[in-house]
Amino acid sequence: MLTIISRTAILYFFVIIGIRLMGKRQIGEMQPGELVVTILISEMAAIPLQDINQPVILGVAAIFTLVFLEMLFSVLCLKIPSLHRLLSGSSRIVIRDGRLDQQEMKKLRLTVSDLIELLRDRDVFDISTVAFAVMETNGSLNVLLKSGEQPATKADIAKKSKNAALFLPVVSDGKLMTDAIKELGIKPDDVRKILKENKMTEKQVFLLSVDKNLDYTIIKKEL
Amino acid sequence: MKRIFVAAVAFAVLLCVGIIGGTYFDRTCHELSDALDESIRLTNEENYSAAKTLLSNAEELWNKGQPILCLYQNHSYLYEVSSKLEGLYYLCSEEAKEEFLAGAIQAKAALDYVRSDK
Repeated sequence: MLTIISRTAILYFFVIIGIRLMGKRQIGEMQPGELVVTILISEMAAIPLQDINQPVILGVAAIFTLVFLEMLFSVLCLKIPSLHRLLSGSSRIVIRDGRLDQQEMKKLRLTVSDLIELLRDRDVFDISTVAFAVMETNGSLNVLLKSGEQPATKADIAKKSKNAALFLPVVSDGKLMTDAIKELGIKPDDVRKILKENKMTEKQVFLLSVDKNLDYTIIKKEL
Repeated sequence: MKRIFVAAVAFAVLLCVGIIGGTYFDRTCHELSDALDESIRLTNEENYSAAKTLLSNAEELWNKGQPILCLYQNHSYLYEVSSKLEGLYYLCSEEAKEEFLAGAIQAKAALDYVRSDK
């Protein structure tokens, strides 16, 4: 039992180091090579755990070999674009001006129902509204709608708006958060002034969020 | 680039450990194999005391190397060689020539398997 526990701890430690060295990626954002390496690392780590006669170092050596090769190839892919295309493939345009590119879909082995599902995932229910749809190498679909179909922005309607400001909690559960006050560049007296305006004391406040312009949101304690 | 450097260093260290350990593994197996061959020759000449001394030294060498050998090979294979060596020493003590020779051949086969599977 102790052998299993110590082996598991050792391998866990080395797998974490290996994954950290490779860098964080969500499963859905991984390139094919990265996904293969991640799966292989888990398989390699499992072998010394399942068979306690196998030396732990074999699992560690396999893990670090995979990590090193993956990182080496990722650096080479940066330097050699053709290698990147060879290993990861390239993005393909599957919809142009509302029309499906059936040739590209055939190359990608992408069915119409798969494409429709990916479009729905992007809140697109009508192919004719799509200017371009690009299938990325990690299997995700990025969509650019036609100009007339895109949601209006503030620039479109020429509306003046305030610059986005950061709200920070300056009173949380009755306690004054001096770090947040300092971060916003305001004074504790400004916070007390807000509390006075709302006829509350610090202890009565559940949450007071303020921005640097002293716009605020205040929630009173109920309990 | 820092990460690739760390990964490269870790890989290089593992490679060195593998090469150095592998060399030690080969040397130990070779020495044990030579000791077994010599003990077979001595037993054929019925020089049991010399064969016993040789086997005792060989067993000590093998056991001393266990902590490092365990890093490179399946523990059950190493244990098989160890148990065969113990048996050979006993057979040599009893001057059981035929049984000893059969056991020595089995021990050599187990050792060859360990070496080939490294």
